Amino acid sequence: MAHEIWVWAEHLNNELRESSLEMLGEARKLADKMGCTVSAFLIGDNASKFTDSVISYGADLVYVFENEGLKDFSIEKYLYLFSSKKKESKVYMIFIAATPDGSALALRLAARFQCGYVANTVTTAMQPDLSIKSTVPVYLGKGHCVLRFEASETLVISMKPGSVGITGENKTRKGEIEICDATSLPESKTIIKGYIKADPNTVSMDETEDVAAAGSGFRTQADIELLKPIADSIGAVVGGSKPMMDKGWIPRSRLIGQSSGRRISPRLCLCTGISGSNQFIEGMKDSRNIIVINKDKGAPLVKLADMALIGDLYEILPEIERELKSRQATTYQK
Amino acid sequence: MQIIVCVKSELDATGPIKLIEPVDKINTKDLVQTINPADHAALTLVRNSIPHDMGMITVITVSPASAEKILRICLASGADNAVRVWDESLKEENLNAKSVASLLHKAIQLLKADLVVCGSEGLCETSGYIGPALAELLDAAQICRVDHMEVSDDKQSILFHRKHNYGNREVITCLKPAVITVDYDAAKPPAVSMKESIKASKVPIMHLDLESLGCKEDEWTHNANANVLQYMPPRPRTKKIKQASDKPLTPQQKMQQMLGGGAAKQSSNIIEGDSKKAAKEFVDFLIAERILNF
Repeated sequence: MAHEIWVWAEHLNNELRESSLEMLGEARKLADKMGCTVSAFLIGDNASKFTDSVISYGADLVYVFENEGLKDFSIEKYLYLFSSKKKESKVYMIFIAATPDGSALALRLAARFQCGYVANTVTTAMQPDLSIKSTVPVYLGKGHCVLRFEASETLVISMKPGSVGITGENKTRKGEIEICDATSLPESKTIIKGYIKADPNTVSMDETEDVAAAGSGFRTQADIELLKPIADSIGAVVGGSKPMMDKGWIPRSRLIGQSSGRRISPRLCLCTGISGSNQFIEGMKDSRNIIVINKDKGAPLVKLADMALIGDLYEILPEIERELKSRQATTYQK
Repeated sequence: MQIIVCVKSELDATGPIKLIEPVDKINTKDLVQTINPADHAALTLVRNSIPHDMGMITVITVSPASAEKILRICLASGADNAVRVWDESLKEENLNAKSVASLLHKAIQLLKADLVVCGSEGLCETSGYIGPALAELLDAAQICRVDHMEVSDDKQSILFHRKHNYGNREVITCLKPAVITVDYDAAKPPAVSMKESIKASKVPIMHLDLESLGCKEDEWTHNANANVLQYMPPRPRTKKIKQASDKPLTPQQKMQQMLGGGAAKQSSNIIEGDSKKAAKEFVDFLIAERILNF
C-alpha cells in the first residue's frame, strides 16, 4: 500500500490556483522528510491540462478525474472521488487551501474519514515516533496551540491562500499520471442557480482580490477620489490606514492593519501616501504584489514593496488614470 | 419548516489575554462567557430571512446549565424555542467536537429538522467542524459560508447566497434536509430591548439528557484526534518569497530571515522622477502580473 500526502489542486477559470501551488510546496517539503509520495487530485471537466504544472510544483503522482458533471464544485461528488482513492492507499495528510470551496471540502473530508483537522496551521512537522505535531492559532491569534496527532491518523490541513508562498517551479521534474474513473458520480444535493459578481464598494476586505489603500499623504477626504478611478479600473477595493479611519474618511470596515484585527493577503495592495507603520505592515505584508506611491524614498513600506513610485501622489495618480484610459482606448480600437 | 440553530457558549477572546511564555493551559479567568458571534449571526440571518409563519426556529446547545443565559439571549434575539442537551455523566473537558456533533445529531433527529444552521467558526478555536460533521451524519446537503437567504415566492424552497471566490456570490438552492454555515459578519444581531429580555426569561427551556435522546455511550464517546501539548506566544509563519535574483543570501540576510519569520522582501523596482514614466511602469507591472488584461 502506497504512503501518500494528498493535495487538492484547485483550478478556477482555466487557471490553477496559486493557493494550490502553495499547498503542493508544503506537501513536497514534508514528503521529502517522511519519504512518501505527493499525490495531487485534479478534478473537473478539463482538468488534465494542469498535470504538467502540478508535477513541476512538487507532485509525484496526479489523479485526474475528468467529467462534464464535475464542471462545478459539488461536495457530494468530490467526497465520492476522494473516498474512492482512500481505500487504495495509506494517507498521512491531506492539504487543501482554505478557499471557499476548499474549506468546505476539507472539513467534510475530516468528518467523512473521522480524522484530525487543523485550520490555518502555522507549522506542521513529523516527529521521530512518526506522530505529527501541528501549530495552530487560537484565541483570535493571541496564542498558538501545539497539537499532536497519532501516526496512525490521517490529518486534513487547510491553510489560508497566500500564507506560505509558492516554492519554485522545477520543469524538469517527472511524475506519474493516473486517469481515474469518474463516470458514475453521485447526484449533487445542491443546485447552482447562478453567480453574483462582487461589487468593490460593498465586498469585505477579507474577500477582495485587489486593494487600493489611502494614507496620510492625502490632504483632504475629497482627494481620495483621485484613487477611485484607478481602483475601479483594477477592480480594487479602496481601504486605508488607521489615521484615515480616525479622521472619519474611511469606515472601520475598510481599515487595513493589525489594529483592525484583520490581516489581508490580496493579489495586489496599492499603498498611496502611506509610509508604513508597524501595525499597517503587519496587516498587509502577506500581499502578493505590493506597490507603493510615496514621496519619501526611505519610508518603511518602500523597502517592502515590489514596486515603489517615488513622487507626489497628486501628480502620479492623475498620470496613472490618464495612462489607464489611453491603454483602454487602444485596446478597444484593436 | 423546522429550523434548528446550533449555538455555543464561548470565552470572549477579545478580552484581556496575553501569552508571554509557553504554558500547558491558558489562564482564561479574566475572560467572560459569550455567545459565539458566528452562531449569533446565523440566528439573526435566519430570523430576518424566514417569515414567522413559515418556520419555527429552535436554538440548541450542548452545555451545562450555566449556558442557559446564552439560550435566553437567543430567545430574546428571535428564536422561538430553546433546547439544552446535557447529562450528569458528561464532562465538559472530555467533550470533543466529534462527541458534540454526535449528540447534536441525535437531538436533531428527535426534533426532525428541515434546516440546520451553524456558525462557520468558533471564537477561540477556528475549526468550524460541527456544521460539516452534522451534514455527514444526517446525510444532508451542505452549504458553507452563507451570507444571504431568501424564500421563494411559492414558499417551497430557499435560495442561499454563498461566499464564492474573490467576493463573488454563488446563488444556490438545495434539497431538504440541509446544513448551512454562516460567517460572523453575515448579519448584525439586534439590540435586544428590556421587554424582549423579560419575555425570553419566561420561556421554558427544554432539557434533553442521554436517556431522552436514546443515546448509548458508544454513540457519543469518540477519542479526540489530537492531544494539546502546549500553548505558546504567537510566532510568525515562515513564508517563501521569490528571490529577485539568483544570488545566495549573505549570513546577515539569513539571520534577518530567521528572526523575521521569513525572507524579507527587497524592493527591486524603485522609480523616481518623471510621473509619466512612473505611470507607464505601473500599468506595465499590472499587465505583467496579469492583474490588468489589456
